[in-house]
Amino acid sequence: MKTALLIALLASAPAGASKFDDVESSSKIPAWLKVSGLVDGRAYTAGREDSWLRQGTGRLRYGGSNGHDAARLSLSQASLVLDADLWSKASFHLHTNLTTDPPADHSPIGIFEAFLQADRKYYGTGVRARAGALMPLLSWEHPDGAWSTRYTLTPSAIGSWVGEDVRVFGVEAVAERPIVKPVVGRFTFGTFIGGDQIGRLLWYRSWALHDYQADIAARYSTPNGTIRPFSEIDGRAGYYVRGDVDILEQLAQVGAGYWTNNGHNGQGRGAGGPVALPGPPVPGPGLPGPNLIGADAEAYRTEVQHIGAKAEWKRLTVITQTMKVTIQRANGGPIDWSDAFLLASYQWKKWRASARYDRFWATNLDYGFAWTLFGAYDFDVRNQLAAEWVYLSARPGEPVFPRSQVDRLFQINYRLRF
Amino acid sequence: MKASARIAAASACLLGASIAAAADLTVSVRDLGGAPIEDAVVFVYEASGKFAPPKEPAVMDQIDKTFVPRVLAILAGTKVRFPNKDDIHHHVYSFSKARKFDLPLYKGEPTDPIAFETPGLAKLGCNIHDWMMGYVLILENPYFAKTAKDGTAHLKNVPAGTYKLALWSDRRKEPVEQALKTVSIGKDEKVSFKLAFGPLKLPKPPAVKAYK
Repeated sequence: MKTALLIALLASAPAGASKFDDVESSSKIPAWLKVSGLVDGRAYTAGREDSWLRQGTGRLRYGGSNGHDAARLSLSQASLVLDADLWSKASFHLHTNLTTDPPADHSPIGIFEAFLQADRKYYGTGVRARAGALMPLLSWEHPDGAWSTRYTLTPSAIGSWVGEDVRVFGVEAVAERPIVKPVVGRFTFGTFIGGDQIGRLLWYRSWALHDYQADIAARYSTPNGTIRPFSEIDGRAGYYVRGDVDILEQLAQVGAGYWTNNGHNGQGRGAGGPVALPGPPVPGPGLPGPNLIGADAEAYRTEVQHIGAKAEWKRLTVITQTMKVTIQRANGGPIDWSDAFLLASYQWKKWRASARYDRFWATNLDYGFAWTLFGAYDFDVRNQLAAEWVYLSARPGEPVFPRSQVDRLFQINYRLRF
Repeated sequence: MKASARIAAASACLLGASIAAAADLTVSVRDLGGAPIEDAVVFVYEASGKFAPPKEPAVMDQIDKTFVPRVLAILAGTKVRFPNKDDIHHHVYSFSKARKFDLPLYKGEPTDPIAFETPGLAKLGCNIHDWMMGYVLILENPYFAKTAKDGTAHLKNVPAGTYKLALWSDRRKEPVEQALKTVSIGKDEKVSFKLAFGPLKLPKPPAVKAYK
């Protein structure tokens, strides 16, 4: 409804408008405000396991019902993005999402990002600062508006986890300058509060592939408790750094970074000092068990190391990224969750075809892979029809979790950008 | 006088008349404070006759992530080339009623130029570089010109007669019909527009490249 109103507003022009008028400039939206967004409508058929988002055991966005395959329609994402120029070099960015498939017991509408941004050049060095609720720069697969994917519908396990479980409340600065022509270097530093339970979702479920975007009040109800990834519990600020090098801008990019919530293990339950966490951890729906690591009100020290690269040559784009998420335990040592993917995408005129292979593993807990095949036709830059097939196979580590799992999803998506 | 001589004399008179019937017009465009306005298009709003578009296509370049020229005025039916002179891909598109098209990711020159048949305004963008913005103004007759830095435009060879002269600028929100000016070609040699204009908004690339 909101989107329909917005489109009507965008299309409206004053009565008696001339054919020589710039209709967008003469609409009722003031020049200092840019309105954009997208609507994704989806038809899908999915395997028997219902999605973890609805407390099932499936690791994809959609799943079956009561042990049977399902075919359904979904408004997977409707995004409204506002960018308001506050003064010449500063702006405010607000991104809100609506979906008919939110996590169990969570609102279908929420704020994805909201921040102030300023950018300018100082002696050849571009500087950008952001402050507010931010998505840190971790994913290589979301280059388009409304943090949307370009190469597939479903991002890799890394991009999926970033979308569902990572957001920061803080400040970030990026500096960029040419090193040697045609090489440009870029450095990012950010510090934040919140995020003391980021990573706990991995412990509960391990890696998954989906395009659900959490809002800044994200909350995941599980049979074993509620996960609030962005809560601040121990009062310690986290930080992240990232370095990037671009060669000929789009020809090749390489970037690596480190992120930590700097969490104080187990702190926050009231009585001071860390508490011993139960171990070994027993994840949830994908790997059913009686326990969920820790408790709802505890902080976890989570660290992320990542490196990625992207190359574009003629019509071919290749992206690869690997990430290791380490969660420290008060006893038993750290657990690592790792994923690596390789994506190739080819665009020919209005057609795009992509294939991606994901391989993921967690220390003594989980091991699996996923294939994603994607094809799309762009009617124009605003309208796209796409089809995607996702196959995920996971084999939780024996002997604790002897059950292997296969998830399948085929989906057809119509995306309207505005 | 022989018949052939009479015909020659008559032809000379007609030729002289037609030369005398077409004239040039200099148009000055300024804002209310007197500052010259660049990239405004002045054009004869209505003129009778059928006008064949030029055979050579017009050119809208992409240079350093900018449309060059920022404003291109053409006669309806003209074809336009969109060469990309950057080392990177562009994805040029227009959603305007006058001409909808898109040229998916490309470097160099797209295969075919785009024909602009319907008079009106086509606003151009790039799907990769959000800030890029350009305009193609498609006009019904060839009597138009674009203002230079000094705010002056020169209309050439306009047939004698009385016309309504229009002005288009991306810095004006009002319909062009609100600022028509009557001119008499053959009598008037200079005309000026003094109007309210909005601020000039040139494409502003981000100081830091987005991770795209």
